[in-house]
Amino acid sequence: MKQFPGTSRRLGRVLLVLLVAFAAMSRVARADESSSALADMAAKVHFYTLDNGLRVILYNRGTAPVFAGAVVVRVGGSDESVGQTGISHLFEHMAFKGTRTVGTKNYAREKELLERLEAIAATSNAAQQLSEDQKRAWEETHAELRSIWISDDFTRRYGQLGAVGQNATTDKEFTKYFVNLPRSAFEFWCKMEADRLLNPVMRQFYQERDVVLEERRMRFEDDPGGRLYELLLGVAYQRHPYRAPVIGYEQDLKGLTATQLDTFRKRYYVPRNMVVSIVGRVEPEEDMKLIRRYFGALPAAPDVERRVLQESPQEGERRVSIKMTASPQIVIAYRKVNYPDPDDAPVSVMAEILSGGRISPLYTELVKRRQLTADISHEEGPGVAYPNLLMFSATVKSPHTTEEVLEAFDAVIAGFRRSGPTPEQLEIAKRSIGMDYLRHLQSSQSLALDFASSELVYGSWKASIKWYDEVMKVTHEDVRRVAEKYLVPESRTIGTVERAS
Amino acid sequence: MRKVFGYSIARLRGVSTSRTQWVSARSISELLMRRPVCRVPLALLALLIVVGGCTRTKAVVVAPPPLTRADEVSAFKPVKPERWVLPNGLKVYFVQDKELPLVRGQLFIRGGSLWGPAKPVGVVGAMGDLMRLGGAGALSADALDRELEKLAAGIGSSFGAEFGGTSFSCLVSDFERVFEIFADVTLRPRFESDKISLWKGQALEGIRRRKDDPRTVTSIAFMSLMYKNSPYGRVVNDEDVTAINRPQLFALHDEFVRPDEAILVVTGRVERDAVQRAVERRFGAWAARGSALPPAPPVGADPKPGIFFVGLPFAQASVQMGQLGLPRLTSDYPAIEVFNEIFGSSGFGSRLMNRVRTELGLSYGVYGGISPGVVRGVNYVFLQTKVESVVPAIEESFAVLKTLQQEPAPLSEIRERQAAIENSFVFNFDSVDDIAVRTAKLELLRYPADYDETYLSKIQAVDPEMVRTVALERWDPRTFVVVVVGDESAYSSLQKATENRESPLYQFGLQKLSFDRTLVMQ
Repeated sequence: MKQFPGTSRRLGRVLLVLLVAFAAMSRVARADESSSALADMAAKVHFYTLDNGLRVILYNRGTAPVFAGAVVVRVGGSDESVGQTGISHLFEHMAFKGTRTVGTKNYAREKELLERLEAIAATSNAAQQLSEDQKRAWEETHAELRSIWISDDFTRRYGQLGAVGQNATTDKEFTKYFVNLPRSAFEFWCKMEADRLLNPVMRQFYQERDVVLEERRMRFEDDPGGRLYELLLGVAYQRHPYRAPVIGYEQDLKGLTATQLDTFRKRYYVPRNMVVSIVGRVEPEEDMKLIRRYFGALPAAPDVERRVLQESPQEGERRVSIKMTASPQIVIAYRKVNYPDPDDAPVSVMAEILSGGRISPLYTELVKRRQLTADISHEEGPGVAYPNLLMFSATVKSPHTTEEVLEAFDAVIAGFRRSGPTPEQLEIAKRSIGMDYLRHLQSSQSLALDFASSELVYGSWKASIKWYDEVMKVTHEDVRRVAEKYLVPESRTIGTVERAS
Repeated sequence: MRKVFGYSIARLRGVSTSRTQWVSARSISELLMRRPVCRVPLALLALLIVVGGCTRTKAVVVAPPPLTRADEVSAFKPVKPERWVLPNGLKVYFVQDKELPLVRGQLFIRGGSLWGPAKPVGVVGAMGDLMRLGGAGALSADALDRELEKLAAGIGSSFGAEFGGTSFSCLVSDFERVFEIFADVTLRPRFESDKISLWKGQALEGIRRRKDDPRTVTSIAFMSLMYKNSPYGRVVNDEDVTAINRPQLFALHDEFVRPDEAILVVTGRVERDAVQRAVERRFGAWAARGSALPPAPPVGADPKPGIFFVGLPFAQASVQMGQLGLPRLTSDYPAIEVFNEIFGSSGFGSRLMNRVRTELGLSYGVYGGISPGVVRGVNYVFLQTKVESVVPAIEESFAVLKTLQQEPAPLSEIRERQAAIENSFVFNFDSVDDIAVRTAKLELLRYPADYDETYLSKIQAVDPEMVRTVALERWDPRTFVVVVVGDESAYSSLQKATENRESPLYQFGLQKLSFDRTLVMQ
């Protein structure tokens, strides 16, 4: 659905060319203009690889004297082994606990005490079953640690320099750390980020594990949509790690120790597995001196080896239903390929045509005409590095049922598979994806994160731009072909929330 | 790879999640924003109702950051928007921004449900939504949708408690056409009957789903208890939605959509002359109203304190507690801003987060502060925790407040929070659009003209005693309304707390409420 964008930041001059090209294209369909605009954009990016293998992206954008800084690590849910789900996300939380010099009054003593905790955790099922003696030792150690710890020191130091939006996210393949700062804090940012990559300390781990369990209750246990999503992935994927929730299963989380997190970090937090990305007021030569000084100190390590289980073929429709005291909703998830497969862009265009706006066939039929649902939307996921899903979601309107919605949905899909898109639908969908893409890149933070993620998962930061180029080339025939190939019941999973009586 | 990110979960709630339908869309980042004008959690809460001592280490590798404002930031001078006024009273702000071939516009109109009829509740919000959704001028609703899709343009409309308006965004080559439609949506909505029933169906479904979300239930209960049946606390129910009709929408549109309370902001790659011509052509004949908008209605008496428990089967208990608060811009507002930062509005910089989340691991999200309102806002704390720890989490929050009342915060902490406010202030002026919209909103909501110029020096003048005075004089925890939504098992632990002399909840009344589609006192 078209939405008025919330905030607007200036785009680079190259995006301007891109948009002009885009506008022109929609009228005279000249894709070559778009290509040259994209080439111009590429020319504005400064890309470096440090000796230790760390990649750096700088992009200048004239705004206030501020910048968006991001450190993106290629690690997430899909890298986790059975029994240790949630470890990437919990580590992300721990990365804000400080370093050997930030967050502590006496690291030498703290280190001894933290080791004492780990020794206890190792013999008490990760501190879940403490004996009376262990309990006493655990509490005494914590009492002394509390007098050493400086809580939230890492974040507060950023705060007083004017940091805005400091946060981090974890998904199936990335852990992203980002913040917006005044330009004057650039060196500070380099120091702090490099320090937490080099010298993180797993302090307050057992308290933070509880925080994440609270987060899990909020996002999944008490949220019907969150719960449905978790279950749906567990059914749509049988072998691939996409099946497990990023936040982790409760029992796995409870069994994690600080020692395990440290081992995990050493494997994945290596320079060749990370990209540093900065968008805003940048001065490449000066900035690179500082980046080399601080991030260059990370020791080189070989590439991360990934042995991810392949998903087996699907041989029929799957269904999962959850009963809870909540109103009904439905998700219909089709298996699909992921970029760089040539079918990826046509699938996105197809989805945009089907449910992208108020005149799309699914919206028109389900929301406007038959009023079976309050809304309809689509999303691709849960990750981008492996074959994924095209998911249509709708909230069912009372007194209708998920079955009625599914029947009406299937009728629309069947009709679409027969006729394919009209030329107008195809053009509107492309324009809409283009405008969304540009509005998305208006945020310096989004731009920094997108380029870094593309670099890490596809081996080139240009991939997201190339993808856009592919979208512009999608034809009527492409959309028909992918509709025929992917929108089939045999390869879909349907998830519903049904009200418990 | 429509976007190069999957569904992600964040360290702080509400940031960068691509699947908003999986995670509730409300975000505390809005509450934490360093933007004084927008920093009105109350508006957020109202929306729900109407529609649904730090020691430093010696051995530091990282040098302690300076506590004064960065020179670069001080030297930065944001552009000043051009401003002119039409004979009918419409004010126009314009900033050219040539970087992109885009034009954006937002029309803000002061007025809203605070001045609306008592019944049906929600009718002003319906009018606001349906200006865009119900067709306009020569275009039927469906034709309007199609036209905008073809142009890849966006037009929106809405009305809240205190103000409302319309907006557009388009390519510069489509400016004339989109501006014409934008004017039609603003001035000549059609309110087509079938779109009114579509809207009603969606609104009813929203009401039906309120109890699926613990935060929504908590907020509705808290605001209803605070503001009772005044225009600040009314809750939309099924019978309200059903009673909304087309003549009411036209009448409210006539009443609220008026040039003398309106400010239009236009930014983008368009010439001033073109904007001036378009505005005169499309809005010049918009008739002014005779009488000014009356003052906002009064808020009722302070609510009766106590614990109000809503039993619903959630894994977490949600708590919102507090008291009726202040109007905006009281003489101590700079001290309030610093107090809020220290107490609970600045995320990990605040004591609530530091204590309840970081040190005790009791909650993922905990925040609070003084949120001034049009007449009286609320002072509040919000948190979510597992059912077993609801009493400790509440008691720890009380203790954080009590400490601020008893001991002045250390000067180092005051300076740290002042620096945070000062150094992040520049992010209010990060784009031409931010600047123009901010300037317009300050005028719309009657902020003094020198508000931005004097803001930072007023913040700098705040000292520990002023912050302590805020804690002491603006808060009275004995008068708190404490709303707890969660599993029935939380009730008995709350009851025990009311009987425990050591607990800040000692002798608080405890009452059960029920919530199905709406709140019922038992």
